[in-house]
Amino acid sequence: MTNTAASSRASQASIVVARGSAPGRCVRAIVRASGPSLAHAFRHAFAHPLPATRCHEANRMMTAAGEIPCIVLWMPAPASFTGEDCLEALVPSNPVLLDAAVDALLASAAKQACAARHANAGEFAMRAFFNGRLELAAAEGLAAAIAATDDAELAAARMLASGALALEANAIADAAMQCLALVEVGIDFSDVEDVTAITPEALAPQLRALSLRLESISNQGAREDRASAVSRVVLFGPPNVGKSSLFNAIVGHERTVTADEIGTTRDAIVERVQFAKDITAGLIDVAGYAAKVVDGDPLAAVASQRALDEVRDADLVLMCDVAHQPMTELPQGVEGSRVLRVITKCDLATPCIVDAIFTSALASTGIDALKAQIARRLRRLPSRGAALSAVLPRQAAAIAEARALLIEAAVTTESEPRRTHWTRPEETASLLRAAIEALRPISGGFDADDVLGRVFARFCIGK
Amino acid sequence: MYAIATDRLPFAPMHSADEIMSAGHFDVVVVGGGHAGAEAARAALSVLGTDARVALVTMDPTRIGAMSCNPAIGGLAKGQLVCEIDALGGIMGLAADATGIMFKMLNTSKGAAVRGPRAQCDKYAYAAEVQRLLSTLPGLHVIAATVDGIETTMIDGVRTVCGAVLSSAAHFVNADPTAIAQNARHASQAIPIYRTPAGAAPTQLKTTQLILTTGTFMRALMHVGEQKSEGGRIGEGSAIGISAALKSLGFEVGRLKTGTPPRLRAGTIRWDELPIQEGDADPTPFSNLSGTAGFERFPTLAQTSCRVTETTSTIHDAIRSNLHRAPMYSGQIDAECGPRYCPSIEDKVVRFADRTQHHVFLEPEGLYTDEIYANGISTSLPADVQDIIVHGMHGCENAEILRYGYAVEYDMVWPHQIDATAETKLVKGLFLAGQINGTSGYEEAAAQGLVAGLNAARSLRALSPVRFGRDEAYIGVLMDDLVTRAPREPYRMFTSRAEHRLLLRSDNADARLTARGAEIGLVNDPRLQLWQQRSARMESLRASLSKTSYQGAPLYDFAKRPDIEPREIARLLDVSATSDVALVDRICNDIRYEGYIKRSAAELRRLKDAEHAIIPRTLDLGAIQGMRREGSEALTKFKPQTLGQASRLAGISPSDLALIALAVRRHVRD
Repeated sequence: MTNTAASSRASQASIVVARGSAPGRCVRAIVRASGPSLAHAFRHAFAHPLPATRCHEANRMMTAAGEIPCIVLWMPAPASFTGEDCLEALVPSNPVLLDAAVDALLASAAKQACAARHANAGEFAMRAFFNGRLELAAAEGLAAAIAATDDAELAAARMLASGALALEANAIADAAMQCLALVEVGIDFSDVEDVTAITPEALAPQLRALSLRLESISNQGAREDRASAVSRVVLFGPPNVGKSSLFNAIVGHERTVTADEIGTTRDAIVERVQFAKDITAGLIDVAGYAAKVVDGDPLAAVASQRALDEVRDADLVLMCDVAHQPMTELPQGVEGSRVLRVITKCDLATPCIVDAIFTSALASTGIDALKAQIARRLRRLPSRGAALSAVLPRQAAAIAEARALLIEAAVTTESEPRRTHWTRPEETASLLRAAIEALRPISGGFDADDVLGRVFARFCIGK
Repeated sequence: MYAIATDRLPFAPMHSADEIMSAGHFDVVVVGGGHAGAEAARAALSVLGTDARVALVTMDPTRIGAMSCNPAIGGLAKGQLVCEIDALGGIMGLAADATGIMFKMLNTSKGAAVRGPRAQCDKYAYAAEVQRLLSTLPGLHVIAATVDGIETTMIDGVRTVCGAVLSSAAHFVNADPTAIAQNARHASQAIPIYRTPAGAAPTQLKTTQLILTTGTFMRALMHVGEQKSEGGRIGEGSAIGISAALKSLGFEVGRLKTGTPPRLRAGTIRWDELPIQEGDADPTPFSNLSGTAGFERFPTLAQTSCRVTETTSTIHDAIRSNLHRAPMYSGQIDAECGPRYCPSIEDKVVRFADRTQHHVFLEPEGLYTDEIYANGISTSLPADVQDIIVHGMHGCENAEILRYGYAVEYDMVWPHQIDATAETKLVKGLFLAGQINGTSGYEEAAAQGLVAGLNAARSLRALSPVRFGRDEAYIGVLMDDLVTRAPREPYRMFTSRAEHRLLLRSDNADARLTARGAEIGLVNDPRLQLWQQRSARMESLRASLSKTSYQGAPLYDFAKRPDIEPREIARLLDVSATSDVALVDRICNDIRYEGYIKRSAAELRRLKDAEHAIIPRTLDLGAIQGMRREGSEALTKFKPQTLGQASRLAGISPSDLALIALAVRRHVRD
């Protein structure tokens, strides 16, 4: 690509903003932005305006959460990583403040009528490459790494998909799709007399209701982010192998009741543990898992099931077995890559397996080695906390956009001159479709065939 | 050698058969003379110019341009396709305008973007008009034959077309363009046929550009109840060899089914007792040329009307008790799926069991025929059940059935194997268009034919391939959908398939496409000039809208109000010429969608570069490192030719797309 083409691309690109590092791991986190005319766009975001030349200075961000002290690395185009105006703000690593900082940048850009949005995965690197600031090989390396992280995001999104947020978002997208199908049927099949479309007066309240539902989940999404922004390590194994003793040994204090009786632990117990200087994760002790549950103990069956659920949701599973017994098999749905084998009660017998960590809670041996190994494994895993917080700001923006579009669709519908007949259904449809498309990061987006499928399923189409 | 039987002709053939065969070579060979084949031949000749040689090979030249099923052109979304074909210089719009006997604009109560022009045509006049229009093209050679094989050769490691093998029954049919063009515009007589003596026919055509538009004829099998017969249409044959040839070249071939209703004799229906359906009093033509100099008379033919009747619960009961005799239900048909939007009456009765009646539209198939198309009772039930169905309908108690309805199943090539240029990814120079790609409908076929003819000719001239954008034309939506999604039924266009629907109106097809058409070789000077005059006139009308003041504000602002009729605006602007009133109407439509258009324009600008970036064919998509398996599989199956196509494949994430973009960059550099 010629330089002219590169610069013309840069000039029409919108500003992108993203968190540059995961929260919770370090003292400071980076908010990064790239795009044209950042000094102008971010005029309302900083206490001191961004200067004409590159600098590294203390500043304050003016956010909805108040003023945040920050250190600004300011690199005007073209001498920057992306070749565009580039800004990095180091802010305290707190998820709430990070969100506020990102929002402040986007809001300021909006006020200045500059197009700005959350960055897609790898977008900074791609801009750098296309502006000739990054070698091809380096860009490929970055893109591959980003694709891998993206997988983690995808996994996170899938995990989220079982959560209440995604269920509700999906239900809303589905309802919107159903509304759209009812509008479309009146457009594409109006020559088939049998088809009766939804009337404007029937549709408008449905659209209003959907926008309200979206409003209520955007708050809920934020809560889920805070609660789960930490990796989960689960102690798992047959009953009475000493998981709870191990839990207490790792945590360093008594948290669970231990006893030699099978099934002492009924509910999952969570404790936040620092496994290494840089790694903190939730340690979860669950009830012993028995593939076959003793008859007449429904409680044990429920506890066993709950243990399985925890394991399926875990970033790392500590599979515990007693030294003098054969190893238990992995339950279905737990891949070996997520498992760390642990042998307990090594003070009682000499274990006959080699590929495991040997511990004795009683004698306090192997605990440090286990913690170090857990830290090592967690470092290798794409942290769920990081993935989630990378997904969620984009999702929140998606929900806000979808909401605005649904309201506009409702307004357009309400302005139809007759309450029972359409004069401009294609405009309502266009907005409704954009709203469904906006929810893509959460619900998978719009598919014309899906809408047509709903029409065919419900109406007798075709002369 | 053989000679043309000139004694049967009113004029001398342009080339002798000797000349044609001794040259031994055609620039482009089009197989099939349906709606796709006709547009393909026209488009190729337009790009190649007057000294080109294009062959159109068809089993029966008298059936060129035949309307096999419904005698109508256009409709919702399909009407837009016809207007686009016309804006690109095609045949379909002109032929429909010249032979329409009932014009109706659909969705007139709704916004302009979703209005669709439709016309019932005289099916005999329509085919004759297509044949006449084709016969005016110098360089077109019609050959009556069945193509049995495809000849290929390896050039630089790429399998490339080098010819087509004809059945031994081939004979030349040639037409002198000047002589036929002197006929009346809607000549009801077909192209004269010239036969070569048996045994003297060519067995092979040499070409590097082969376009297959086989319609329903590849390994075609017709069903009426338990009875089966070979053929793609009643009384016609089946093409066996070509589907085997495609398979042996490595194509993944599938099978689809479609059907047609019985035809009734008009005089035996109590026509006047049935509710009437009339066309528009002031019909809208498809073609930009209709109504202009040389095409003043529109509509050309006398206008007629349709009637409506309905099925009854007695009929539905009879269908239910005979379902085991319906080929789709008895397992007699192999094809998995017929179209959901065009169900047979037996499908309707099964799927919507609670309904006690369905509408049936009785549509005349021509002005001088008593054939009536019974729109709504497409069926492959046995003849005795069809009798019960027809005679059970009000007004049709004594109706004579001229031709029973039937289902036809045929081979097709899964369309992920073509590019949006209609060229196959497997064989260079081989193009597929129409039902062979799993579509249904005359308009969809014609659009693909145009794309195939255009790109075959451009490839021959070493010009860059043309892919229409999804924001540019329904033709672009059609081609892109075909190459990026796996169809589950014959594909039909709907306005809801076009995400930029508000841009793609039937009244602005020329603004979207005519200038571009001239650039790429599809549009001739007179048509381009007509558009330029219109465009200039629109600009001046637009300017006077801004200058004229009304109620203290520019008339332009008043025109934004959706409740104001464009005719009212024209009156306030003191414009009265018919053509100007139509242009004011267009301007008002532009103004009313302005907000939406601006919004999507910003988004489109952002995507533009990536959308049209080419993925080189030599790039091994399966070898891109770092892709997830889902993405990798989608790439290997669909082999997208542009980044835009790749982005629309199910299973491709934004980060996958970044990897592909980088792989393309590396490939181009290395």
